[in-house]
Amino acid sequence: MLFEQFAGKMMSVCLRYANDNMEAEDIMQDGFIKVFQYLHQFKFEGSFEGWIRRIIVNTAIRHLEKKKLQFKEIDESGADAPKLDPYAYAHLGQDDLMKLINQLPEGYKIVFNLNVIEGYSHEEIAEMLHIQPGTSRSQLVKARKMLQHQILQLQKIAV
Amino acid sequence: MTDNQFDNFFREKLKDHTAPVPVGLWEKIRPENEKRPKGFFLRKINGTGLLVAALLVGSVIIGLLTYQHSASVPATDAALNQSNTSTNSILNQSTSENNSTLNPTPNNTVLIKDSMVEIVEDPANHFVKNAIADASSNETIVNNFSLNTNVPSIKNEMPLLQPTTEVQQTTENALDGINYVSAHLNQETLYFNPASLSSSNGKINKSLAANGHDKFIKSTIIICPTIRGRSSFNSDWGFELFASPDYSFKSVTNVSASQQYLDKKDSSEQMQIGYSAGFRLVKPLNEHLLLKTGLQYSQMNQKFTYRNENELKTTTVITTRTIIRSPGDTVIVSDTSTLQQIGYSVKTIHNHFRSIDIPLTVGYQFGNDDLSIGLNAGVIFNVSSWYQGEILDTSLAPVPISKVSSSIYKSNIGLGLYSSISVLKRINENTQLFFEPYFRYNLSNMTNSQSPYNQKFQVGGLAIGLRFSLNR
Repeated sequence: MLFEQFAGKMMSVCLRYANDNMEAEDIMQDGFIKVFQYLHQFKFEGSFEGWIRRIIVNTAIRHLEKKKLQFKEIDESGADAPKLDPYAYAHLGQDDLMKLINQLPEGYKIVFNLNVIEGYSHEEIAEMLHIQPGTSRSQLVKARKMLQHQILQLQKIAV
Repeated sequence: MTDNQFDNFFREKLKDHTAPVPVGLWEKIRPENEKRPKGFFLRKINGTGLLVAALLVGSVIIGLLTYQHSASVPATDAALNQSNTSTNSILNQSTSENNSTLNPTPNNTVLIKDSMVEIVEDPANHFVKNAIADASSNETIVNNFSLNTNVPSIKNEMPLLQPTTEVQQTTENALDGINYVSAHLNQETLYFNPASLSSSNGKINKSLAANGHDKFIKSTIIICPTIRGRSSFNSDWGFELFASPDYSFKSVTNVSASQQYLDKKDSSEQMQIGYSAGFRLVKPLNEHLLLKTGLQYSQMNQKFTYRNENELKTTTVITTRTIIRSPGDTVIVSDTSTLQQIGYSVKTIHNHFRSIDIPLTVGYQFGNDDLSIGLNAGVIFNVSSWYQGEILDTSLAPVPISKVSSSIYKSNIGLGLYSSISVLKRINENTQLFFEPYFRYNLSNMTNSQSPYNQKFQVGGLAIGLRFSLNR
């Protein structure tokens, strides 16, 4: 069944964008209703999973937009991106990464998800979120930096 | 490490990540998908629509009642009128002449309609039909016995004409309850008033017994032993005790709130199963119609979940290291660091909306005493209602709300409409178990004019209870 086949992966997508489980569930519900509603419009161009994923991501963005999405410029004075060795995060599992992403501020999180995980360009993201491409770029840089800081913190705690 | 490596690591790890899907999510998606046309129809039903529906149901019930009455009464009346003019004198005649009036002739027939006895004689057999009237339906429940002339003992005790004579005597004894008697010579018909039936019936049995025919009766006549099973009009008051699990459907319309507030309110509130309990007095108005009123308590439950932002979590980390500077020179170093995380916590509060109400319904009930079905409709008057728990204020912060401090919820939500279908099963002589799925539609908002939104609750449930017959 279509839902059973893709629900797990799409739930993961929803959780990456939502602020909590309830919100993720709402996005998932709305997204799959749209999937069934527009199923007949699928043109068999590209993967079916990719088509569903796009609908879910768009639903998530529309959902978050209702709450007045804010792309805050968090002041991180003097804090350069820490130098991080690959072995520092190689041990991190999927759940750890999900937690780290969810701890990001909303704007950072969305841009990071769209660019890094979903593979949208900054221009595409700018169009989707009605922001400047530059804003998308800076949000990504800061998101990356914050993630690296968090990974370092985790390392310290683990020591 | 380059940014690309970092990004690739995240991408590869999370590309195929799956998360557990909440139980029941498919059920939420599927109905949305399938119920769309139905929802469109239901959205159009408002309070006026329900009122019209209730009136239509009421009209149908009254129509049915009228039709049944007109279908059953005229036949009897016609027969009665037809015979009335000629029978009063014959009644006197037949009562004074006793056996002579009802002397049987071959193929003589005595029919007592609406009451009890029908005798059909033919040369071979005597049939006596003892019929105990069913007062509600004006139909007769007939128990047959036959006097087979081939049985010697009965023949000896009761010659051919005996049953007819006996019935005649019985009839005389029961005459105080007779309104009409039509005795046609070829087809004698006796009409009894159903009201006098129960006393007549007792007298008939006594009379039969007094004349030494009780053995005969016991061996041959099956007399309906109790009133159970008939659906006669029982004017006794009834008392119902019931409890019901129920579910509330919330409807919110915007007045002056922002869309963001309504979205947040909608996502933070989730209706849960509530309950109602109460009692009702039941007064039968006629054979089918019942009037019910009582008092009931209802509680609607709601789960209110909200995020408490800027929760500060402080973790103290103590790291101990041992530094060996030279053999025998070991230093233990302890580093203490504090990690502060700013996040949010999710809190869940259970809100309750409670109300005390007086229902007033009219029911149409049909079936028999063992199993009957009722259609009920009416109004429900709110006596008092109050909301307790927490709600979001317009700044999206949770604020407590109680019976005394509620500024946006009314203390009386006024009138509601009530409709239900009840199924009653008798469990003993005086008690019936009933199941009653019901729907309650509140006509007024539960919020007052100061509220930035209007909110209503509709309630559906299944009342399960006992109905006790009083005055028995």
